[in-house]
Amino acid sequence: MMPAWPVLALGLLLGWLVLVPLALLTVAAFKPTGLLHDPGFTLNNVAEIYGSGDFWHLVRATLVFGVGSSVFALLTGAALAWLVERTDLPLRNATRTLVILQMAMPPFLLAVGWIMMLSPRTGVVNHALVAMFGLEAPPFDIYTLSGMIFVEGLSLVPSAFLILAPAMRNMDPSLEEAAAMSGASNTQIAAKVTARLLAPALIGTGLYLFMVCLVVFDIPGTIGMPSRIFVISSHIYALANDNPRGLPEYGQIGAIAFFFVVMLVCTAFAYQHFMRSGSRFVTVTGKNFRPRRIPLGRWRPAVFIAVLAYFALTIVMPLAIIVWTSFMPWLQPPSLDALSTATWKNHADVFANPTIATAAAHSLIIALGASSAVALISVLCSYTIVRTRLPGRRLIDLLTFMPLAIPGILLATALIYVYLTFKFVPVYGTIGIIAIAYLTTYLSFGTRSANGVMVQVHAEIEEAARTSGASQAQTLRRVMLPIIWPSIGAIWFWVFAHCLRELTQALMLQGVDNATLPTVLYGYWSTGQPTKAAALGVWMMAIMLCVVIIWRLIERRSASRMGGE
Amino acid sequence: MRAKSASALMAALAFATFARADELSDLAAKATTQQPVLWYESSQPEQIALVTKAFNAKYPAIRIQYVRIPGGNTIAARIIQETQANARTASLMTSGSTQLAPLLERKLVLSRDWQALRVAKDMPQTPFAIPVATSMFVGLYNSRKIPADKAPATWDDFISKRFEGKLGTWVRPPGFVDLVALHGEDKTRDLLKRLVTLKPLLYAAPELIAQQIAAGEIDAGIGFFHSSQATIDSGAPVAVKFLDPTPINTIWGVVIEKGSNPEGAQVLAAWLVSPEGARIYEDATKRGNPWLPGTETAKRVGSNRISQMPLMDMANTARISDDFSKILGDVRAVR
Repeated sequence: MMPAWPVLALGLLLGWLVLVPLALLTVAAFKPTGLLHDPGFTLNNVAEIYGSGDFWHLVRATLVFGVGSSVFALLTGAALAWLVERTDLPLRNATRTLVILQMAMPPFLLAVGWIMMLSPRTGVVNHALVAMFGLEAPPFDIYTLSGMIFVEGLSLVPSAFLILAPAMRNMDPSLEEAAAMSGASNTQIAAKVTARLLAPALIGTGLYLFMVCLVVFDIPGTIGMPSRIFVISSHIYALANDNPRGLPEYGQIGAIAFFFVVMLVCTAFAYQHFMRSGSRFVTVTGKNFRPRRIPLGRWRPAVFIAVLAYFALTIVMPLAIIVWTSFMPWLQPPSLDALSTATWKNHADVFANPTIATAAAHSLIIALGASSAVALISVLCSYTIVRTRLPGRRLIDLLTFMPLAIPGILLATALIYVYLTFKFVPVYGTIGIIAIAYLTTYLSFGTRSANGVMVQVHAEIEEAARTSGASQAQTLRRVMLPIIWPSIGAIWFWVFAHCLRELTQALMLQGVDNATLPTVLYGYWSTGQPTKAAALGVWMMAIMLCVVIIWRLIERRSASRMGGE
Repeated sequence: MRAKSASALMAALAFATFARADELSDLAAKATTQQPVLWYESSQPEQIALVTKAFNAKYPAIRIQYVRIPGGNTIAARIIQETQANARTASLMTSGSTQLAPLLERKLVLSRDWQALRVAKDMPQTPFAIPVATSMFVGLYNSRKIPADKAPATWDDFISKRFEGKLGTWVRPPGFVDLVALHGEDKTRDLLKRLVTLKPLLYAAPELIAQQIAAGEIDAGIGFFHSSQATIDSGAPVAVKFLDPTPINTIWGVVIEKGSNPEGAQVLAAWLVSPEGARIYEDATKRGNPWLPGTETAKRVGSNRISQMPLMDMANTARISDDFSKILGDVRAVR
């Protein structure tokens, strides 16, 4: 029998990380100015938001954006994960590395890259298509809701891939083999066996991506705001930064948080419903197995070309645009004329900036600390949620899901209050508060990913360990951890990459000496030096490439020790 | 209400404050014994590092710590939050008048006789704010796409059908609000409504306007002089046109009473409006002080009429700002 204190400890930690900021936001919603210590209470903020037709128009646009982006990311990520983990696609390791490498690009630079390709006025792709096919008008306009969905969907593909790939890798092939023996085609096996076995992971990932799309700001802010296409997250940004009366509308922002909480509770309910039936989807049993690879047959070359085309479109072209921009004296689309102005100056200036070294050190410390903490806490939470019958485990699950309902701007605002009020945790204005913000924000990803994998592991494996005299802790450490290790690595890496590029919260929590690489990058961008921002972006991607390579080497060594591929 | 209480404060101070010749030295001496001056502004840290380096050459014992608040529109909120929590907060804020109003409302601003700190008499100062610099609202256009003889030169030239779908401006309206002072409210509102029908791109940061003109994304724009300089300095084909009247948005230096080292903040604020400090601040941030003869900004303004809402007319400024923000918000409806 497992003692209850781990649940209590986890509950207290999650309560501190999640409930305290949410409680302060709730109070702010009922304050006339939204400032917690200002006098009086009011319902005006809530009435103003929910009584306004504009808000419901925003909700509609946000839902279209959220559903469109998450479905696009889920389908693309799942297809790539399936091709890499379950088929004989050529160059699978390189494909995996390239998908993950996409995460290195800060989303707002990705958006800038796509603007330079698909803008109706200056877009390189539009110009090329008009010239090639003699079109009367450019075929694409990035400044639309569809444009935003496309870029946001692309930016979330690596997340979908990283959640789904371990789940696909851990699948017991016996059911698929049985289907094949019974005469089912590869398509039938994929639709009727593989997809159903993966249902919890697919649904969990889809719901997670949907919630992320509801709160994400970078791409709606960069592509949508100039043409006044707003979703709720960009509206929150405008309320925080563009209020003509000088104070952010924290009250209205707090009121909007209720909408996210309701959305989250509905999503969490749906998610828990699917997870409860998780035992139907157990795929890692006590039997030894080697995942079966499905031969692509005559489709192999065509699928490989399609994957190459995908990477050309999603990595090579945006990356090339960013690299191009980093060598330009000012922002200009590729042309022979522009090439003659190319210069190394931006890169030299970035390295000459005295704040770069400190910002890089801060970014790495924050990323290492937050990603390790998320990985550790996620494993403990998921183990408690999925593998035990301890009371309170569903509350733990809900608490880990809740940060998804808090947009970055809201969380940063709340954390300012939390650590100004509770000064016994002296992190206000330091890198510590940024690390806590990231730990809170990315905990949802960590637990969703870990839950998806834990639910696949059959109880008989643990039972065997317990029968052999292992304690619960020993079973977790010696049996479960080795099985789920690739997933933990994926969680750690995903959080590390996101911490390294996260901007919104780092900006809001900026103090005397806690600058990070993205805040320096944004500094360049927001002071009219986009080419230097691109140069720094290129070097950030280089750092990420090194991390990806190291991670892949560790993963391969670990896999070969386990006898896998 | 706000304006009334501020006027009363000014009147009271006129009687209550008596200057002492060596007050600046006294403050400087006292400032050295305290913790660093905490300074909140929206400029890049590298730019302010140049300013603080020059300040410390004159006052080596007064330490300064700088925090950049991007966009500048949350500085007041941050100071209020920190003050209400009894946490360490800025002693010097340099920002626009919209950030000053909520601080005045909560009586967080230190009032004093600035002339006692050798601030020039003819500067438009109040007991609680001195003008450190100005952001000048100008016309910008792509000089490669638009030859000099066809370049727009007036407000009507910029806001004309010629630039439909090819014009950009800042998502916030302070430039247009300040234009009201000389152009009149109705005329400026009509101008803004005409701008909205041209389906402009509205950028979250004014710096993006010059960048997007350089990239060819838009042909022309209305933005700030200082925020276009980095793009122009890089050799981009962006030209500036000072329009008549030229709206300016003053960056006020404000000392927070409960801030960290308010004595040092007063010394720093007074230095920033001295000929030496103003020149260095202008070199670093491209925002200069038009009231100090010899600054580049004073030369640039030249014979142009400058238009700015009076600092003490905060309530009216806020009302117009609200109204103009809503008009700009209508861009969504027409695009």
